[in-house]
Amino acid sequence: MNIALLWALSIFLIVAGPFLTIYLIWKIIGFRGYMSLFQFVEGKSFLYRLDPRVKILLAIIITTVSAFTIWWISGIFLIAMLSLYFFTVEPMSKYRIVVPLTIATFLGTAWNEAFFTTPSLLVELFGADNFLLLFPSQFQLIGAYGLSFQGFFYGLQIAFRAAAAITSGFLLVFTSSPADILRSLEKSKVPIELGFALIVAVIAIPKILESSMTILDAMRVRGFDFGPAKSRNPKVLLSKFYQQLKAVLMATASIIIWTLKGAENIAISADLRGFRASKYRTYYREIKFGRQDWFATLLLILLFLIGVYLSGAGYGPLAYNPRHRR
Amino acid sequence: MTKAIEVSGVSVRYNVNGEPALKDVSFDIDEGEFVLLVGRTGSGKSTLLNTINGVIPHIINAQSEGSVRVYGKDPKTTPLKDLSQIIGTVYQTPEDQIFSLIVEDDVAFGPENLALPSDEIRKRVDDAIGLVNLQGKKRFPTFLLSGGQKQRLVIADALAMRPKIMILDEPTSMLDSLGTSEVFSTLKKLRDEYGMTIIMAEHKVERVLGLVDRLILIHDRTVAIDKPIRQALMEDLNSYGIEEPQISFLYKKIDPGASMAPITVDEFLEKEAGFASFASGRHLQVEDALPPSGDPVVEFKDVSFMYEKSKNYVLEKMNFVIKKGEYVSVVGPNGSGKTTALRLIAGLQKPTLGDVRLMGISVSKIKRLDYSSLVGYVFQDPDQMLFNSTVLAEVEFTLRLRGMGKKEADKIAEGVLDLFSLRSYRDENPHRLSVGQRRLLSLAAVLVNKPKILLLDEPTRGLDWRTGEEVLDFVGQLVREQGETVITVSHNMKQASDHSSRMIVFYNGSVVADGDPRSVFSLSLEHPEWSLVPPQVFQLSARVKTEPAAIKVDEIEPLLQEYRSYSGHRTPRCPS
Repeated sequence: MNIALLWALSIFLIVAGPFLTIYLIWKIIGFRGYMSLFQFVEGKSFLYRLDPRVKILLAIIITTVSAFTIWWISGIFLIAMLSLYFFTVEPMSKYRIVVPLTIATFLGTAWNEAFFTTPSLLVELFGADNFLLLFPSQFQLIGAYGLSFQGFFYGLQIAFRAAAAITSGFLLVFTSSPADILRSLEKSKVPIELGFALIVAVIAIPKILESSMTILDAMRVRGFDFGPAKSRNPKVLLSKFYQQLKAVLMATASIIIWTLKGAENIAISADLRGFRASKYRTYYREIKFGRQDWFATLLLILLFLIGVYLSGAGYGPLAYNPRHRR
Repeated sequence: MTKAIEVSGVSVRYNVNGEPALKDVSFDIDEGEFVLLVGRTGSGKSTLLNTINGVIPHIINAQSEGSVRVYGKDPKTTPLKDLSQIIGTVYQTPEDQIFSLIVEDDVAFGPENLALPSDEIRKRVDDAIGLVNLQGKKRFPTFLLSGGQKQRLVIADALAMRPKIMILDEPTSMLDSLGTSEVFSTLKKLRDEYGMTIIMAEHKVERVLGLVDRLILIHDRTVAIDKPIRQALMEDLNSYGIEEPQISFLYKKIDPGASMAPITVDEFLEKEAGFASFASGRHLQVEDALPPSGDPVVEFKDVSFMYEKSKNYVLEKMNFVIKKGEYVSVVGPNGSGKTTALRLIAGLQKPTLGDVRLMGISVSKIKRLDYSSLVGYVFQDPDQMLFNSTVLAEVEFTLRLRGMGKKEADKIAEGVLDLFSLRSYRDENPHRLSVGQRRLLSLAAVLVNKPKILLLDEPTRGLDWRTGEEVLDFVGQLVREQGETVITVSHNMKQASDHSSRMIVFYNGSVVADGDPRSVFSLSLEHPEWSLVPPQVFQLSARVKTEPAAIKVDEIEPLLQEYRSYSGHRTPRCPS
């Protein structure tokens, strides 16, 4: 194969994965989808009544057990988490965000792991490494080898673990308000200043996202075109890219200034409502560990122990190898 | 009467060697009074309010002399947590004062900080939410509240601390007409039913007349007027740059020596009982604008628009034509599609159905860069339009995008800055200018491209009366002298009728009225759902049935002068 073509193809493959992932996320989920991640709506199912700390524990345990067990256990977790979303308010709106994100995770993780896993590891795990496309040897400097069937398969397995972790995390975000999360953490002695900072950050993100959309509109209105350059001339393309980069930087600076101004006002408001008047705050909502919470915690600990057992019993994190079982 | 607030000889300085922000301010406020604090932007109102509620010096560093006492306590030495249980404060931007995603949680924030027992917190939360009429929305997400609801939530947040005094610093600047009414009626309830002492800094004098007892004007860093409202209105507020209600302005034409002015049309007619019959059927000399004769500049043909992933049409089958040189005000309740229509004209969205044409060309065929010389769009919030690091760079942004050289662009930009008296700020960061200057800068940045169509979304929001009038006068000049076509979204009917020649009313995504302000106001009397409150001069005129009804103060002035000589000087009686 022509060496220049090989280089071009190799660069494209490495870069395309992440960009495709981001693009997919953007297009399918859209801006509103992102916003809704930070906008909590209350519901009535058992998920909403569980203490936030239990859900945090769930995310931790799922992630850890996925990491040290075989890939299809993560697969089971993934399906389990996705089915739990059924018990949220407007489950379709949640699925519309999580499913594309999960697919994007798969694409993104699998794609990258495929290229960056060493051939020797692949041989050890799968007994062979059949490369469909070998990158130029210089690419090994950044750790990339090429596209092989085994590499991709390996990537998929890693992706299952990532997806299980992410979906378990989202469960917390969807079913507990930041205020309740904060309160439950405060009960476990997290300092109130930290908690307040976290809450303000969560509330600020949609505001910042909205503001950035407006600034981009303001730029469009003054003649700035964010679309792709309609030219094949690399000089024009480069200058267009540079312009767009500059625009994004200017917009970012502007948003930062605006956010900081708002931050000062927030601080004043908080102090005028007695923030830090006393070392510990009280809560008007009961955040107490109830029977459901103890039961759930017990289940989770059990899950963890089963995971440890399975890992030792031969279902450890090594990739599933159709050739030889350990 | 118990003194709620005592201010004596207060001067405040932010820099030790700098100009004082306040000089020798003194006044007392009794328990239960509702005081309106007016003054141009930068006059020192916010500094005064922040000195009373303790933000100065506890949070903002400034030197203050003189004494302030709030129910006997000195804000300088009383910790904020104690002060905040005497004074509740509400600022301009509701989003900066809301910390929770759920209404109830936000109201509970204050009492929780005070480590109160949970049933006490629950009680305070319920009481506060009831006072601001948000009971139906206790577990509602805060980000879905309207502007007015958000600001009411902020009031509830302050009320949960059980203060006896409420301080509000331009609470309705960021709100639309409905939100403004909601906030003002809440305050009225607080005062009338709960005897709350209230100090409010506001620019919208005409709208608050019925609520307040007293007016304090801060001018040149010190108190220039401090009188009960009806007496204060007999002063020449315009000369201080403050909005004067039309009704008192008109009254002064009849009886300039009176000690008290009426604050409503009813009071006016009560005081001048003979005016109604005198004016009935009388002919007014009015100058109606000539029908526009230029070429069509903006055309909406059966335009319908729906946002992506939405099921509802924001605009439905809209049709209208705007010709060259017209100055059009687009009015209507919030959510009726006004800003969406502007966005379609600016090319930020494409119509779902139908066609939008600019100068005869369909918007789908116009390139982005060409747009900037066709349409200039100034957003509601100037801060969201400024993103360059210097004032000069901001103005020449588009010129440079088009490939103009730096020297040439600088020259043109400086010329434009001169028009707005901003030239001396050319190297400053835009965010360091005052809010009025930022508004002017956003206008300059758009006008430098000499657009044929100027779109203004609530151009005077947040500005004091005098600055707002200057901006609108400038725009009016552009229309008269350069044939600019201007489309402005407005909630201020006075400004709309004073400056524009045509009003289009949007309601639920359709055009429900389209014509000169006079006919639109007459129609609006039969359509309260449009939320249009015609200017007081129109209300008065329509009541006494002049022919036609006046929309501007100078249209009815001659009649008032006539009435004055006819009736001679009369001693006014104060309304009981």
